[in-house]
Amino acid sequence: MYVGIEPADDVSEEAIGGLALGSQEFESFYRANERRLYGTLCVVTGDPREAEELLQEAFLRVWERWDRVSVMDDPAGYLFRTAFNLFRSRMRRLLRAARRTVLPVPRPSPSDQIDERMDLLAALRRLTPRQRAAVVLLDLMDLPSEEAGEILGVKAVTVRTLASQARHALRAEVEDRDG
Amino acid sequence: MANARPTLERIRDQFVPPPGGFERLVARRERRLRIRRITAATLALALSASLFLGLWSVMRTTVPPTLWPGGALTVRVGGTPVDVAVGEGSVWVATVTDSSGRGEVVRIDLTEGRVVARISLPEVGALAVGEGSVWVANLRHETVTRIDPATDVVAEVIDMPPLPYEVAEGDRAFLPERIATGFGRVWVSTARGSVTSIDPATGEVVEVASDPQVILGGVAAGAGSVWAWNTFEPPEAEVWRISPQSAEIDRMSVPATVLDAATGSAGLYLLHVQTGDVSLVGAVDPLEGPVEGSVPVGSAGERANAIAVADPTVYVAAATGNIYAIDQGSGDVTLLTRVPGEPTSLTVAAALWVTATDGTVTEVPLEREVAPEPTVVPTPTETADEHTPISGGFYPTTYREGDQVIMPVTFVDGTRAELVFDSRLRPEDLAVISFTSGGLGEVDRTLAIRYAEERIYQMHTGPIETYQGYGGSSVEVWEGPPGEFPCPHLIFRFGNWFVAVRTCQPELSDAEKAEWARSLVGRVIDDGFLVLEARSPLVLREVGGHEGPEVLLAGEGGWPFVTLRPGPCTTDQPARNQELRVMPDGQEVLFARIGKMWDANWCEDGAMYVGVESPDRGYVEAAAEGLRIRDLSVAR
Repeated sequence: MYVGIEPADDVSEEAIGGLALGSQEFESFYRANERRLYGTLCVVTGDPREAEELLQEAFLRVWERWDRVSVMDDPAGYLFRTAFNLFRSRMRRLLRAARRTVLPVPRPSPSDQIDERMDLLAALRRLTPRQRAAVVLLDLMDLPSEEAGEILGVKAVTVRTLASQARHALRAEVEDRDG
Repeated sequence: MANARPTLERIRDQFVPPPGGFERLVARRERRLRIRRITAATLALALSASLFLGLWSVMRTTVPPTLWPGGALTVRVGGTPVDVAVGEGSVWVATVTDSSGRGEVVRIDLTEGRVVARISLPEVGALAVGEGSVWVANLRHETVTRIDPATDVVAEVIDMPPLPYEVAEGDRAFLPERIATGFGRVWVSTARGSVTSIDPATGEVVEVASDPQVILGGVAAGAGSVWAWNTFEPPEAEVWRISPQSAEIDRMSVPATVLDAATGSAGLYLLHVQTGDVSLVGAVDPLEGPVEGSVPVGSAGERANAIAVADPTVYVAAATGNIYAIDQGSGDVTLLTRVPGEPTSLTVAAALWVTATDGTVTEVPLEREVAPEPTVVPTPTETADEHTPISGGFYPTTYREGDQVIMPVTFVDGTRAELVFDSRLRPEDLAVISFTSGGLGEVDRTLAIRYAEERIYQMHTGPIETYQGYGGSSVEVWEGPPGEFPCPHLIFRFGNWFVAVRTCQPELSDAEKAEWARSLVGRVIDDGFLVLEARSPLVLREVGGHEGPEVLLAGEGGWPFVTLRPGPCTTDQPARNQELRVMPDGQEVLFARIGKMWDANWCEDGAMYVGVESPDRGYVEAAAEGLRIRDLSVAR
């Protein structure tokens, strides 16, 4: 690795000596999709830390298969599906854990409360994880309910029901906020 | 609300990911790669049963870390070692040599302590030795490679059958991550929640255990069972205890996060990482399950990387290079020694073997409890033709003279000198990068010279043009890296050396590029260095000229950084931020602190500029006193 100095006329570190942990193509892919996936996962999980964890794991899984994913028609779609699969796995594990222990409801911090007044996260937090996932898959990602059902491991009709419940709750929340 | 899209988009767009996400991803990937290796089966010695009768006592070592060198032998295998195992009379190291995962399995003879074979593979990963063969997991290729230790050649490449479930749409690939041998079979795990076993005689692969919901961290065989564990699942992780005969599985929860695990005769020892990088070693009894209590290892903030067991001791390698020994009976923790570089894997047989990110594998003898004062010097390593570092640096051969290590260097114009280092400066860890400049007319070009840097052909587009080089060789033009100002480069190859010359700013005409290609000649000389010659009309800068030949020495991560520039020089008057000191041998040295960096530079015998830069003040001061030049012979 060429490091430490940077002769003005030199080939860049990346050209000659850069430690290539992955292709620049992958990094570009990461940068192009990071924000959208992060925001989507925040919506789905209602928890930015959880979203960040899922995002990192999803990108990592895509990275390890990048030679194949990169030639797919829709690498971003693969990324999002991977992320949702992880979310679904995590959801199941949380349910298993919940059977063993009663988890305290986290008390929102003052800053959280301010944030909640300023955005619509509170509305999302009132939804169940499955409702959030269903409405995101159908309305934000425009997936057919059959495909959303496959991702969530439920029937298409269940997805539609969950999404409908979510829309209803969101509508109530928005109407409350707006007046 | 017929469609919640506008609302959802409003919410989604409020969230901005925290900065540094990609860097965290890179770190995560590195960490994942580190744990993609398996600790070899350990020696079965008598174990104190008291370990499992109650809590381990918590005892911290008070022994301060000692400066490397502390080992008897350091072998530079090159690349980035990812796994190590002992067997068949040898130490086997899997080392990655380029970003595609390509690499080598390096065989080090235990008796001679030197590299006796290198087996190139399209991909290397975790490694295990047993059942008469060496086994290598090839993650991206979805295969396991079997190497015959009798011939050191690849005997078989075994395809891993698809998973019984999809992890993503249409994706059932079994990506083998870690591997172990025992009970007459080879055991392979994938993070995608599955363990399989291979019949070493037939190569037949059988699924053993699967759960798509679990992210498995690895597999080990010992203490009567095959073990698999998941890694990334706070607050609880899970260990699978698999019967090697019936494949019956017991699943048990253990504290997260499990970074690594290894078997002893008493069970499976788990290396946990907790918040704040406090590492703990816990254990799982083969019969009773998780043992209550655990032993903290290392200092606060000191991250642990790997674990190995040779009863009655558990060994832990920390990212700092510290190697800790834990007595299984008492739980006492002792700092055993410190090795160079950041450990990536660890195994133990008669001695401890530690691989590190700097491309080395170090033997740590086990008879010594605590490293003595740093009087033992690593065996000089014959490195010039033994490895292919990712860094593009060249590791020159060094040899010892008493307490000093001598490094002969040759500049690209043929100028030679010997660098005389105090052995504590660890010159064997320094890689050479060379520069010079030259041109066809008034505009000089910098010639960036790197060793074994094949990735330049993989990272960017090309060749976009090809010219005929001296002696019929090919000189190719490749696109530079994407960015604000991508600039194609002429790439020359001389042996394992690459020379890059930019073709823009100002642009070289086709005729000029052809002239460059014809006129630059390189040859690799006996000590492995590259010497360049220019045929008219090309002119290369001579020693003493502006941007003339330079040798730069860089350590792991770039520091320390040593600049050697032959040519007439004098010691300047100290600038305002500099301090002039006279070393015990009379050498005048200018010291400066520039930001977080410490800098020392001096003129050696009026004939060579020497600069040393590092964030480590102690190193810079030691170098000012303990680095000298001798036998300078300037090329004419």
